[in-house]
Formats: sequence, C-alpha cells, structure tokens
Amino acid sequence: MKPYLTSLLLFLLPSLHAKPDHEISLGTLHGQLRFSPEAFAVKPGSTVSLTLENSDEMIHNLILAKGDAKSVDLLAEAALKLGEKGMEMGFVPKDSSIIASIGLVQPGKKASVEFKVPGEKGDYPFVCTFPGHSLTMRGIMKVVDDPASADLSQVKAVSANTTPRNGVIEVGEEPRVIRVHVAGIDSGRSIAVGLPGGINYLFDAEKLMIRTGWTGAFINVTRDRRGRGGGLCAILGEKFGVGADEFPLRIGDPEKIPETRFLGYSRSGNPTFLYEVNGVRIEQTATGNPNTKGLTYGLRADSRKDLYFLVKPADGLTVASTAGKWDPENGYVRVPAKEASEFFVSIEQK
Amino acid sequence: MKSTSQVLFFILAHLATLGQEQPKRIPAGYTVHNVETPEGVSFGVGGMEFAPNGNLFVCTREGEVWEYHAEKKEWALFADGLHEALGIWIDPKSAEIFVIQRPEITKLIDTDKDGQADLYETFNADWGVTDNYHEYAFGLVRDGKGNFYGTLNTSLSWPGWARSKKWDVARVWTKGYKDTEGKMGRAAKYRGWGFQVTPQGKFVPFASGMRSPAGIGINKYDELFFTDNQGDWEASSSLHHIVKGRFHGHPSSLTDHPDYEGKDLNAIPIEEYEKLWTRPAVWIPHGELANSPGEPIFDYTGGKFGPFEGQMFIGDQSRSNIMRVSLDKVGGDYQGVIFDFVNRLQTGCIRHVFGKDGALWVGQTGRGWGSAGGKEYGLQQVKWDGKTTPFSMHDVKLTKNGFRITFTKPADRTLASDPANYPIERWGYHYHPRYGSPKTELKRSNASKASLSKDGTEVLIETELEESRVYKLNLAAITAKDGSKLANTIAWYTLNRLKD
Repeated sequence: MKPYLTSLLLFLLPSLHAKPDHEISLGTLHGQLRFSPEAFAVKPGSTVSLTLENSDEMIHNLILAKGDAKSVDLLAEAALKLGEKGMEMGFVPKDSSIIASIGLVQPGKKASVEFKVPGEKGDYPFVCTFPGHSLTMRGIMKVVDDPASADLSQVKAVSANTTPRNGVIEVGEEPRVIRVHVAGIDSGRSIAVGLPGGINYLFDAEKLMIRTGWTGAFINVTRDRRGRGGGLCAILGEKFGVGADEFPLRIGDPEKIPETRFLGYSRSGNPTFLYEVNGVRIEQTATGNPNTKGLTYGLRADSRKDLYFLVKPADGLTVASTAGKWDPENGYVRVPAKEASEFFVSIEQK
Repeated sequence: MKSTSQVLFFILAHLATLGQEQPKRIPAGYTVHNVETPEGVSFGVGGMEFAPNGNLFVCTREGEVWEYHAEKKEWALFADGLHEALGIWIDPKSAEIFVIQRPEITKLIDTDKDGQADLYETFNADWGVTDNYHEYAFGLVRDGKGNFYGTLNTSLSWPGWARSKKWDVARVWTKGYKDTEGKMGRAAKYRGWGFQVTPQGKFVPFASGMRSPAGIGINKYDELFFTDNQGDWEASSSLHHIVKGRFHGHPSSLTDHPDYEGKDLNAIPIEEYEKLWTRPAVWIPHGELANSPGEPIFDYTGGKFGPFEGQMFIGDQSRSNIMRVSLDKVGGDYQGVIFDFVNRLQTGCIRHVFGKDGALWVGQTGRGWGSAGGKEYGLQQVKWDGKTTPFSMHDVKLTKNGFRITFTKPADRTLASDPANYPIERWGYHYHPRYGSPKTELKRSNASKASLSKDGTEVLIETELEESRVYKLNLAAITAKDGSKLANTIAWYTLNRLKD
C-alpha cells in the first residue's frame, strides 16, 4: 500500500487501535525552521502516536523514514520534484523508506499519525520536506530498549555548519547579516538581514535603503556558493513592501537629494547600518512583525536641520512615527531636528 | 566534549601528516602537509595573513573569516556574511584587519574583544559593482606608505553567457575582427583597473587593461605585480609589473580613462591599443604551465624556505601547481624566468603566505573552474627540511648573446658543457581581441655554445636572441655532479627587451 495512504488511514482510524505505547508531541520553533524537540526515543516494535503542533507561521509537514542524513536529502529532493502536485500530496513523495508521515499542517494547527516502530534498533530520521525547509527541519527517532533513559541531548540532526552545503542560511537566536546578490533586486551591494522570529529585510548599501522585507525563512545562498559563485540568491519567505522607491532621508529640504556615503554596519545586538547624509551621521536599525508584515525603522541622527523620512508609494501602508508627524499628502514624516537624536518610524501593511 | 574532539582532531591531523601523499614534482628536501580546515565548512580560500599574535587569518570565497591557532590546531570563526572575500591584510603592529570583498574594502573590528568582529566598517567602496558574477575584487596588499592596492575583474558581458544584455557594455572589437567573441566588458566603473586606496581612504585608479587579475603581490621595494588569466586580448596567462598609468592590454577598462572619455573604443584600431600596451613581465604559457594563476608572493624568509630567497612564487587554480619566478631587470624594466616548482597539490592554489618558520601556506579553491588536484577547497603547507639542497635551475638571466643559467649545486661537467643538451624553442604571441593566442613564429634550435663555470654552478649558453619572445630552455639531459636529476627541467624566459 502507498505509504502516504497508510499514514492517512492510520490518521483517520485511530480509534480502531488500542492506546499507543508512546504519545509523542513535536512542535516547531517560530520563524526558525526547526522542530522542537529534535529527538525522541521509543521501543522497538512499539506503537506510537506522533503529533505535530505547528506554532510557526509557515506550513510544515513531517516524514519519518529509514536511512541517514543522505537519504533524507534524497527524500527532500523527491518532494521538490513533485512540483505542482506537491501541495496536493503534502510534499510527501512515494518512497519505500518512509515509515510514517504527516501531510501539510497549517500555521497554528496540529495533526497526528499512528505507526508501528520498526523492530530494528537504531536512529531513524524525520524531516519537513516542504520546499526549503529540509536542511534545518530535521530530527531523530531513537529506537532503543530503554527510551526513558536515552540521552537525547547529544542528538545532532542538524549540523552546526555556518555554510551549509545546500545553501539555506538559518536564523537562530542571533541575527544573520549576509551580503549576497538577490534575484529580483538589481544591486551589487545587497545585504540580507535575518532577524530572530522570522522577519527579514534587504539593505542596499549602494542606495542606502531597505529594498524589501520578507517573513518566514531567510535565504538560500546556493547560487552564490556553487560553481563560480556570485549568482542571484533566493529569498525564501513572503516578500512585503516597505514603501521605499528611493533613498528615504532628506535633511533640511524634502526636495533636495542629499549626498550620501555608506560607513558600514555594526553587529552588536540588532544590526545597525551606518551612513552619512550631507555630513550627518545616521544609525539605522529595523525590527519587524511577521504577523502585520511591517518594519519599524529605528533612526538616530545628530542633525541641526529637520529630517524628512519619505515613504513612497505609501498606498496600502500604515505609517506612524514616534517623532514628528506623518504627512500622507507629501508622503513623508517630518522630524524636527531636536527630536531626531532617536526616533522610530513604523510601516505596516493596512 | 570539546577536549575529546580536540584530542581526536590532533590525532587525525598527525596521521594526515605522516601519510601525506607527495606531489609528483617536488624538489628534494621539500614536503607537502595538509592542514585540516574547519570541519564541514566550505572553505574556498580567498586570502591569508598572519596576525602579530601568530594566528593565521583566512578569508574565504564563502564570505567568512577564520582564525587559526596554529599550536592548538583550532579554528574559530571571526567574521561572516562578507561577499566573496578575496584578500586580507593585517597590520603587523596594530593588528587591524582589512578584507577586500566584491563591493568594498572593509575593516573588521572586534569592539567587545570576544573574538568575533562586530563592526564591519567600510574603508572604501568607490568602485562600481553590479550583480554580475564575474566582478571579483582581488587583493589585498599595502605599501610602506600605507596605500592599499587591489585589482578589479572585468564584467562578464557577453549576453550568451551572462544570460542578460544588461551587462553588455564596453566589449571592444567584438565585430569587424575575424573570429572574435570578446566575453569581458565593463558594466560598472573601474572594472579592469588596478587601484590604490590612500591611508585616508581615497580611491585612486592606478593602472588599466586588466582582465581577470586574480592575484596581486608586492615586493620589499614596494613594487607591485599582478597575474592575469588567458582570455580575450590576453594571449596567455601572465605576470605583470604594475606602474601607475600603465595599460596592461584589455581595452574595456579604458572607458574610465580620462583620455578616452566619450570615445567609441570600437573605432580605435587594434594597433593603437598594442602601442599603448605594456607587455607582461613574464608570460606563463597557457596549457603548458598554468591556466589561471593566482597571487604572487616573494620569499623573504631569509633562507628558511630553501635557496630561493627574494624569488617569487605563484600558484595556479586549474593546474593546482606552484611556480617559481626570478625577475630580470633589462632596459629599465622587468622581464624574467618562470619554472614549475611543485606539481601538483590537492586543489587549485590561489593564495599564499609564508609562516615565521619559513613554511609556504597555500590557500586553495577548486570551485568554479575545475582543478587538476580535484578537491573542492583546502589548505596545505610546503616545507623545506632546512638542509637538503635540491638540484634546480636557480635562475636564468639574459646576457648579450644568450643566457646565464645558475644551478643550486654543481652540474655534471660533460653534460652541462654540451650545447646539444640545451634544446631551445622560442615563440611570440598575437595581441588581438580573440580568446588566447596560438604560439606564433615558433622556432627550434640548440644552444650554439655552452660553458660551465669552474665551480659547476653557472653555465653560459649562446643562442640567437629576439625581442618579444618566450624562450623555452629544456635542460632535461642535464644532471648534477652528484648524479641527482633536475627538479625543474624547463625554464620559460620572457624576453621583452635585449640587453644593451
């Protein structure tokens, strides 16, 4: 029988079974493309009820299989090849190595599967094969005689590589800052920033502006790290607009395009971009909210003139500032010089 | 946990040295040693430099900077997220770290002293860069006055390869000359230039005409050299002496030259470019010796690396070999000889640094163009045992009527005194927009005379001399007085100018 149908039937008919030997519940870490926990232990030949509780904002699945990390790579590849049929099949390919699977689980939902554990002791990998997730969304089912005393702390289903071979850069508890060329953003000086919690943005160090924001997974740098390199990399999540079609700051005069110079960035805490505008040093951070698809700019400037922060086009965006006032007609926030030492402008989708 | 892995690591590293496979060509007394790179990390070496505390810093094509504690054999990540970092320079006094990456020169500062950079300060970003993959920025050297130097690759502009017309800018003589298909152009400012950045951070375009200038080096007299790769306008791979204002052959860069502002580069005759062109100091014959040379480095180890003090070493990515160069100043400018030195290492050799103990560290990448060595990346050391003198041609210098070849130890008198043991080929190259050049006017002869010095370490050979030629001297028939064979049987001497 087809494995994914097996799991579907088991899922539909749990009442036919006696209470399983093990009830295991796995969660997902918000915005981080990780299972939590990443390991569990069960007895050979036992019955298991496995539940995936998806507290993430992205869709996930779960496939438990025989094999090792390499065979999981192959499963992920097979899932990717399902193409248009992928969504329909829950990105669960037909493969004899699969022991059990849970199809697509929507954000905030959960789903379960019951299965019989193989009689052979050892490690059995599980993985989310939703495209782009398989590198980091991995775990291990340990089949041992005494599951209660199994040491799960040493299980490393996900390698700690900083430059994973398949190119997906993971954002953990610390922000990531990576210079890459990104498909769809015409710039030689793009800097991708991934913040914990599933919010990301692209700072263009040539135009000195955030070109786009996106929620969910961060970035796949394969095309930069494969072959001759320098290729256009893929943003993995869902893009959102940030209301910037040109460099957004003006000093003294909202009409006058200023002289600018990029100074670099700090990675102490939240990444801070540093640049000069008409000789005024600016420090810029950004935070965001994946649910409202919004970014909040944090700006510091030691300016003797008023600052103008342009939001264009502002259609469909809600703009608010902790200093000065949003002027929707002119499309800018005017910040009086004395309030410019630190202020925040938030831009969210209506 | 950590200590166990350290111990294991030490054992593995030790085993690796003991069982090290040695290259087919390597002079007696020299050995190659693998250095383990960080486990599981793609480690295409883009630059290497020792810090004052003795630790080696390596920047990578993957945009990371790693610090190597040589004694503990431990790697620690110092910085990441750079865009293909292809050069690093560390101040020997202040320990300030600068890297060159595609978009800029960056100073990496560890403000909180936790061992990782947290301030990525832009030192200079005044050259143009687009999202064209070929727009590499190579470096990084600094002269005694505190000026940085680097080289900027041309753009890959041929739409057939680049898959877009947006970079198709300033390809020169792609039409109107038979069989041309110039690939490289200039899609952003100063592509194809070597540049200087002053201590104050000012960008100065320095020399033009570069194509794929993958390595830059500096000697103790602050003289600059770069290597270029064979391609359009580049007859063969080559080593050039950079002097401010020089044009090194590839015309796309002239777009940013004040004398050519607004001019149609395709309307300028090829002969005019040729007149402007400064020939390479040393041709590195394509296919015979190297296909894609990297960084030149000078041996100032004081003899710790063997008998080649003051000479230059260059690695090659595709051949995975290390070459040795001795320069010869003739008529006020450099030309010189190149030998194959070690052939071959585990993968492409593009970056080099000498350790305090005199070991040559070779930074490697084989990604993108293929490498004879086969591995994708790596780090190896070439060491001399401190005592064995290999039998090598030490140097070849031009004389008025031939060459003076010196040996590291006495040659066999009978063999070395026979002119028939010095078969010579000489040839020229075309200067043209085509991709590479065949050898032109290839001539074969033997030396007409060979006289060995009393001590047997110097032979004067006589032969017909022509300018603008590569002379290939084959000494395979010659052995040392003690019977040992030559480590390098061939010398390629670039004769640009005759001696007065």
